[in-house]
Amino acid sequence: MPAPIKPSCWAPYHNAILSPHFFQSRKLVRRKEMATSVAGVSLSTPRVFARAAETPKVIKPAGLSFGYSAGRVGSGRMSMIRPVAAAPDKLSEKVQESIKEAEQACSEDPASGECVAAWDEVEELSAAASHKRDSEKNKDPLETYCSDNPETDECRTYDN
Amino acid sequence: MAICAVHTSTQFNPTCSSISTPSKSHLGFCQRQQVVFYTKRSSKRSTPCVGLIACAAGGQETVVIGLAADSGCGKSTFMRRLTSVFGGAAEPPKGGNPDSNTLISDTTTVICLDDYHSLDRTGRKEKGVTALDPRANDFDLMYEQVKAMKDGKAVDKPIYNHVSGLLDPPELIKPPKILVIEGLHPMYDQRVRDLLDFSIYLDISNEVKFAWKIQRDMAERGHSLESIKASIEARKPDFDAYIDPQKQYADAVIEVLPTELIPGDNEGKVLRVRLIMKEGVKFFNPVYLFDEGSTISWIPCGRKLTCSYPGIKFTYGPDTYYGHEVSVLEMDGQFDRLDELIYVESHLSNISTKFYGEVTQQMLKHSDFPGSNNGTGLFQTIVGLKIRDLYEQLIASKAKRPAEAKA
Repeated sequence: MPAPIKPSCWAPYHNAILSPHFFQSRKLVRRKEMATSVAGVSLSTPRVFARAAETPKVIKPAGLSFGYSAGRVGSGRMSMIRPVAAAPDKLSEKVQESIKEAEQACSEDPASGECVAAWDEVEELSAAASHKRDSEKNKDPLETYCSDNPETDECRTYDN
Repeated sequence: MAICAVHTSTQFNPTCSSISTPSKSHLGFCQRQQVVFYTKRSSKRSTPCVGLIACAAGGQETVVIGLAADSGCGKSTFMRRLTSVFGGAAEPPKGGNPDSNTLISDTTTVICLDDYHSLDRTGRKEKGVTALDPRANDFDLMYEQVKAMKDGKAVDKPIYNHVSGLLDPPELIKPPKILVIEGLHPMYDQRVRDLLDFSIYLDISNEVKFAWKIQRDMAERGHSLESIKASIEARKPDFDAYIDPQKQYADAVIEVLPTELIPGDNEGKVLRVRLIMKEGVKFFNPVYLFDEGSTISWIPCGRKLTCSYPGIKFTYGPDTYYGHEVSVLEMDGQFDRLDELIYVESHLSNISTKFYGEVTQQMLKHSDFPGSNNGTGLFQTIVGLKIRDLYEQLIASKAKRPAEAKA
């Protein structure tokens, strides 16, 4: 049985009870508190995760493995073939480049298929960059880990 | 339950340009076979594919929903609301291509129709066609694979990589209970259209589209008002020719327009949203306000409910849309407080909720999504509930039929 959570733990969340997010986030908050104490690492910096996703051989925080890289190092070939998601920075560059190209393509003939296709590429890349930003924003490293490993201690949730 | 064999198909297809049927037969009691499609395209990466073969849940047919809209018009948000109504979060396939466009939850799989591009980014550039152009899309493959999934067969669906602009090696998609196909052309090809059990079109007016894209892109380096405008204008002829006409086939259209509550407002912050619902669609009973079939204008703000500026206004009534009889429910303005939303929900009928306040609960759950305080969020949530209802009725009617045949 888990140790009961002391009432004092809840003090910072008194204000949160008034928020509409409260009822959905309560379990999550409790789980995070316990997990942080178990793993003994801070999970608050998203940069840790971003780096972990880019380089497969990053030192992983105690007891945790993340996402596509560390969790699957075991099967060598599979990790080789799996392309790694592009960082948002790289997409930003691509958006910037594509706008320049479109402006160039249209300076010659604004009605050409080339010009239209170039602006369509701008739209596609801008949409992709926006989706990437959204998914990064919602990516909590613990959530990612727990969706892959729901049975581990860090990821257990308790009902009263 | 069906028990299925798991095969890795690596040894059969070193290049992934075509997937062959595993030569071993299934070990268990799997009535369904993996369906195989030969795609004409070849991928630049010659990587082996690993596939997992499984069966449709209990051998039942998959319900197929189509969602059409232009890029940047809220398809993703709608999908997140829809999958949430069905319960469980939809996530990209585990362990697959991180740039996969597919979302999977317990009941629902959402596939992006960009995966059926026949021309990759370079190909489109060379030919001078946009992704909106049917020539850039493989409708034969789209039809074959959606049909296969509707019949309960797994398919190897290509992946269009939005980052690289290339077609990546395919991913195996198992037939879900509910398959949502979202993208630019779900209702363009008649064969695909005929497979849809329900279809939705998100119709965003030019003013609002412009405002939304400014919100989305202005922070992006290199973008300016001019570039955003130029991109919309360049794509407009193809949009008008190939995307917009699909709305005539939709069972539900969500129209998003500038508000009429603030004269001359073009900011796109306050919105007027119309939910246009086709009459006579099987298992779909349009939502109504107070009295079904009457024409109603309703301002809920008054003595019982106080609203802040510019208030909220509802209209409801019968109409025709592309020659079809429809019911239209319109909301202008936005919700500022929780009690406004509950008040409105309690006055709407036929919203297919399972308990009092379900719409409000869903809206609150995702209050961080765009549109949660206006008609876009409200109507997307309601359409989600209507689809859940439609799915349940469809399944019930199918379960009944064989029973009747026996008796």
